[in-house]
Amino acid sequence: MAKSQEKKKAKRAELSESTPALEWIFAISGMVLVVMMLSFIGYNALKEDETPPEIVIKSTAIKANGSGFLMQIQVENNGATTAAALNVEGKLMDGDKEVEASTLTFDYLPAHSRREGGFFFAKDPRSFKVELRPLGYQEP
Amino acid sequence: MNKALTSSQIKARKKRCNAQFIVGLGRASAGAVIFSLPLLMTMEMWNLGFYIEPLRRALMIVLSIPLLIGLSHVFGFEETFGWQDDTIDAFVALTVGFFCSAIILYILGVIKGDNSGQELFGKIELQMIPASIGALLAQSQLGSRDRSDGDEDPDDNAATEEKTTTYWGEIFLMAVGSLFLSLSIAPTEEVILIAFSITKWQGFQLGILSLMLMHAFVYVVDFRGSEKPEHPVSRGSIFLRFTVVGYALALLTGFFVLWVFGRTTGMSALEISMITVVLGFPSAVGASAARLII
Repeated sequence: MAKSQEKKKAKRAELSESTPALEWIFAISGMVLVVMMLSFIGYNALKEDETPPEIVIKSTAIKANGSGFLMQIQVENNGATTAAALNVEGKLMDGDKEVEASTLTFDYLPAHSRREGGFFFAKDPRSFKVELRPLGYQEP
Repeated sequence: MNKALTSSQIKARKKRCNAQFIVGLGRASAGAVIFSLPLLMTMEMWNLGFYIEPLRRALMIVLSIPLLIGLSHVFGFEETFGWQDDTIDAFVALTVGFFCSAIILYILGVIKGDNSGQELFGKIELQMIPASIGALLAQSQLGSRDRSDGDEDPDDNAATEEKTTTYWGEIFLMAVGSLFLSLSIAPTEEVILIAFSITKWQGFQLGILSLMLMHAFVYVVDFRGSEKPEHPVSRGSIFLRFTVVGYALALLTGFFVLWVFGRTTGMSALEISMITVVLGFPSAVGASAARLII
């Protein structure tokens, strides 16, 4: 019993001695990380520009898929607000006539970020003019 | 700690040890279930199992092994006498975690007999990690007090306590605590929803609040009961070495879990910082609570 109490005292004494270099290295790196993170957020908090979502849609690939075709797209939000329930539409146009249309919904498209998705078409998008546009969104 | 035992004492000890091991397995299963039940009943976890990138999933599982070995070193299934024992205990915990998760998922109808192998394993694998942490911890909390061998060594308890009061022991505990809470909360949609709805200023405040909360916890731990430290460790030193390091750990674990779950793909640095800070809040609480509770 006395032995374990002695061990406890020795351990506490060890803690009170000058802390080893490795602990300080950890402490400093931890501080750097935390300060960087918080000041990054804080800085952006100060220069907050609540611009609404600005959606840019790009087609990245068109492939034959199952019994039809798949057009893969990449959607970017260049605004400073997140767009939730973002509806996006892809239309295949023959001159002024709409041949086929598909829609797609993104749960969230955060600010300055991009997400990917795809439209399924029965006809080959490559033989028509393709119109991609955002339809609507909701603030989260 | 090392005492010479007669051969009959050794035999008796072995017999008791085997029986204790079975009981230990039972406790471990209980711990696994308690720790993993919230996640087992979370819809996002079921899907995450097979849609997150397999490489990231593998990385998380691989990293959980040294984590469990470390945990076992500090607590353990039974008195562990070295890293070999700790490794065995870690794998036993993983196995217990695996089977408990599989059984519960099956009963809940989340996995069915006709699921593809990939879906089956994907769903169980991720759940295995919190379950195995629970399995190991249950043994320490519910088991080690109950050791009724006649030849119990009081120094063993002191030794375990020593391991948890070293600086690195504390840091490790904080990492485990924050990993556990991050894992429990990260899969859900609410984390990103919160990050997207709050202003950056609120995000900043959340970070400061997390730091303050952690620091308060540190003092509660340090002055627990009558253990007032008589040594002149400056507040600044404690703040830097425990609070700041703990919060940095909480942020890092939060980020790692979010990355594994694919919540950071395609996001700008600012948005990633926001979700990390949001997850960092429960993560920080987990880190501090781990030191208090464990």
